[in-house]
Amino acid sequence: MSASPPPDVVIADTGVTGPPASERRPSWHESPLRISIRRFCRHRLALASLITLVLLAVMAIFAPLLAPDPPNAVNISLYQQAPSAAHWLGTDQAGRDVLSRLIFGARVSLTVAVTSAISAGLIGLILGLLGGFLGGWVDSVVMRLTEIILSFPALVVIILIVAIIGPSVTAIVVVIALTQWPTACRIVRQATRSLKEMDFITAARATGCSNLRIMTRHILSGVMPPLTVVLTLLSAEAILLEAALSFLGLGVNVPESSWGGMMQAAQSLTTLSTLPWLWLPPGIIIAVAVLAINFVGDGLRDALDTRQQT
Amino acid sequence: MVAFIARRLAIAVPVLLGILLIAFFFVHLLPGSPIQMMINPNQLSGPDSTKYLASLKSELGLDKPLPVQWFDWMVQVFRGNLGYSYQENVPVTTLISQRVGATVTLSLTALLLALVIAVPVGVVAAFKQRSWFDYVSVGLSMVAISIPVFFLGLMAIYFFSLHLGWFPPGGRNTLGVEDSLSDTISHLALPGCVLASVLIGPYVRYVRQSMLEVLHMDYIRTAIAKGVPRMRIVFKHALRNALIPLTTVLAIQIPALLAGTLVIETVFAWPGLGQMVYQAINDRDYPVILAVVMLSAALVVVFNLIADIVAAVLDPRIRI
Amino acid sequence: MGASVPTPADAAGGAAPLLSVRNLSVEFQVEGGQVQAVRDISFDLRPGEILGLVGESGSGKSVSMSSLLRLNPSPPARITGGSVLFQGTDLLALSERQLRRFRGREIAMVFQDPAMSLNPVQTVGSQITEAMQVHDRGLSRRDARARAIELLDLVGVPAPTVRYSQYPHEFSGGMRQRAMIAMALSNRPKLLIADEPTTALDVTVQAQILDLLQDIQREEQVSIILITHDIGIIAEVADRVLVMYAGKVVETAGVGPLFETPLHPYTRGLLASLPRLDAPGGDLPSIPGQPPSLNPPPSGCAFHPRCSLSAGRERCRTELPDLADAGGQHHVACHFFAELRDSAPPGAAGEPAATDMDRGYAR
Repeated sequence: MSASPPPDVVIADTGVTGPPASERRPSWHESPLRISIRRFCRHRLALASLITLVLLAVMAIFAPLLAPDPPNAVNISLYQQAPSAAHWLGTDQAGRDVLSRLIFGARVSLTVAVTSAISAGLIGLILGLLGGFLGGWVDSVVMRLTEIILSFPALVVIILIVAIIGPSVTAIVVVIALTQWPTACRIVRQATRSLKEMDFITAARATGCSNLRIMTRHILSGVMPPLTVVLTLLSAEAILLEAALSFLGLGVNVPESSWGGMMQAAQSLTTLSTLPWLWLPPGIIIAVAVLAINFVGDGLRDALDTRQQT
Repeated sequence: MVAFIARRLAIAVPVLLGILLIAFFFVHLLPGSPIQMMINPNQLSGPDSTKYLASLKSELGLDKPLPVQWFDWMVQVFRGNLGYSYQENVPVTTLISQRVGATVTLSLTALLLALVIAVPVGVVAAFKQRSWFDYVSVGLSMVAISIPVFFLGLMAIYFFSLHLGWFPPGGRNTLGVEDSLSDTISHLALPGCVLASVLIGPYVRYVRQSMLEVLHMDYIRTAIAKGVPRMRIVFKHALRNALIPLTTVLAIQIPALLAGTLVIETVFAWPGLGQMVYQAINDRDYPVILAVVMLSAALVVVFNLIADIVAAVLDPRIRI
Repeated sequence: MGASVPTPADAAGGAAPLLSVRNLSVEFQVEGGQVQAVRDISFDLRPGEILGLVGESGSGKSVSMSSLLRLNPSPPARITGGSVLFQGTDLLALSERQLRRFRGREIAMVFQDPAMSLNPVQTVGSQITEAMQVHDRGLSRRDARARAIELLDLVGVPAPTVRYSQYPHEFSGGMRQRAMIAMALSNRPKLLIADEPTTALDVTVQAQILDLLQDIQREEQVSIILITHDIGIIAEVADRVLVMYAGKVVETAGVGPLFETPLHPYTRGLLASLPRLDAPGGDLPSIPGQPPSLNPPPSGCAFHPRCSLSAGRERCRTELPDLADAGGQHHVACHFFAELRDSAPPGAAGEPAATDMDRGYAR
């Protein structure tokens, strides 16, 4: 044995040397929400799309201030004019300013889209939670119901129902919601089923939480991320459905007409070829809006992906 | 395997029943009483009309409670009696059989086109992830799912037909010209491509996603470590596994295909079931609309069944 | 620069090494820069021996061995230097097509078996025959099938003819691992690399697989590199051991000397943290701190922040230690290992590690 025994490398009691304080990890926390927002903002495309959507919403809200002319100002003398300085997007067959109609059209299209998406999401959320969590016959019924509804081509069913109850905005929103809720329900149900198995649910049960409490407090927050993504999908689908309906002449019968309704005239080949300014702008703006929604949806899906860590 | 098919069939039956139930509701809710929909107007005049009406009433069970009516109506449906068109005064089945060929041609073409384009594009995009090809494919497929189908159709007609003159603007064949393959193809080209784009968008994304997941699986690493050549890994190992979820995706997209067919047939004046339904809507010809809706829903159920069986054939894990 | 490694002349018996790795470095491109996962490692593998490669996650053990066959996906991984001489051929200099002739034939690899290491839609038998047919085009289906069944029997899969036509999900974890080993042996490789082969298995099955590996070494004369984080497995099965930490080899020795007189503070810490039947009760010792980030790697010796032997000495912080010869085929990468060597062996119970091996680890 040497005079001064070398320090025993093996630790335990005294002389424990850990890494110096400067190398230890910082202890401030980031909530999942902030992490998600940060990740979302990293997707430049999704961010740009979100800004686009906000701009569209602003356009819809402030339509009366932004539109150069009233959208329904019929003026036969201005009939079918090509785009000019006075009318940036020209005029339609009744002499109405196309640009103004486009701006006001945002109101109808976006309102229908958002309300039907939220309604569909709500119905899907409730039924998906119930079916996924309770299982058994409740689940079977919910599943069969979703399968049945998803078997019908949505557009045709909507047309049928609107034919019965008339094309009011409420009717169209309700019917779109009725055909789209199964999409939301499927996602919510799947999420609920996987969350149900997790240990924190078992722990909640062990502390005596009732089923309702577990569903509303624990599972609901876990289901929110995929539900938000689905909501974007639903909005996109709703815009497209409403546009197709209006294009076919079966949509909302509001005087301002939605973007799809503005394109109705293009069913005739002459209008199609000679008056492109009538149908190209609304078509493009629909595509832009839906594209933006889809990009935002993708960005959300990545940002909310719990499997990634940064 | 047989047990699996049997079970799958058992699940499909309630769905079909549900469809029939909803259709039955429509029969009652739509303007025009049930009997009006099923009546053959040609037998309304003449000496036997009262007898005919009476027998029809009893066949439809209109004096019996609703559930029995439903059953009787279903019997009628399975016998092939889908009602009579208000507009044309012929059985709906006749009208359908006249037009179904055109729709099948159009939708099959679109489906095949979509698969032939989407699968290779998706596979290559996954293989060369983050290359320009990948970004362009994903970008284009995003645009494809965002553009309204009818708008795409309008633009196609505007550019390729009216201004470039490459294709006719609509219809199935040129009037007065004999049926020829090239004539059919030139009429099929635009609507077929536009309808295909409805499917290509989602398919490219699914194929790419599926392929990406598979390429990162452990068994791919095992195959590489075994010395399997790269092409063989892609085709034999990766593709086979990646395509399994796609059969289901294919089936899920069928309703979208049908809805798109309606719109495209209207835009391109294609003489198929879709155009018939559109005209029927404007004419308030409910028996026609209802019959087509029922048939499409039933078709979707059948397709889903087939897709699930095919998936079970491809993936032994599902057969349990 | 090059670490000093046992050259063929040093090796007792003088057999030329089967595998000679020199200065292998691998880095990963990540969002915040590069991670130096493997930093300039060198070692030899003698024919017929089982080399145990032990280290915790992040030590670079799996990455380094996967790099031998270039199995790491090439972005983001990049081999930045070194050579891998297998029977005289530098594997890193080969083209992909040339390298493929070694994969599954001269050098075979077995992975940890989460359920997805085998293709779920193909029968187990067909995957084994594929391994053979890829390297021998002329092999008939019947012969391949017969040999596959023979191999399944060799590795201890019961009812091999029936199992041949079954799918991976019909196998248990242990049987799947045996099937993977059968697949690896199908072309009579000279080297088998087993990456955590038992980690996902039950303890009893673990023992069976380890026995199987030893049988293979003996009867088929296959050299084995066994990668694991479980030092107890090393004690049971390995002939020589490589200890890795933070991308570098910090100690290499025969298995006896390593357990008897570990000379690197990290190895000592590892051994001391093993639960022992003969130790008095109390807290299980552990090494304080965390493995360092390798993006970029710390200066000097990577272990210095956690090392009580270092006690903050300047040299540990600034100078990277090379593998130094400690006598008897034992090499250590530590500036002050001599201080440990001249003192009594460690261990909370104060007993030499040899006794633990005599008792046999309860593993």
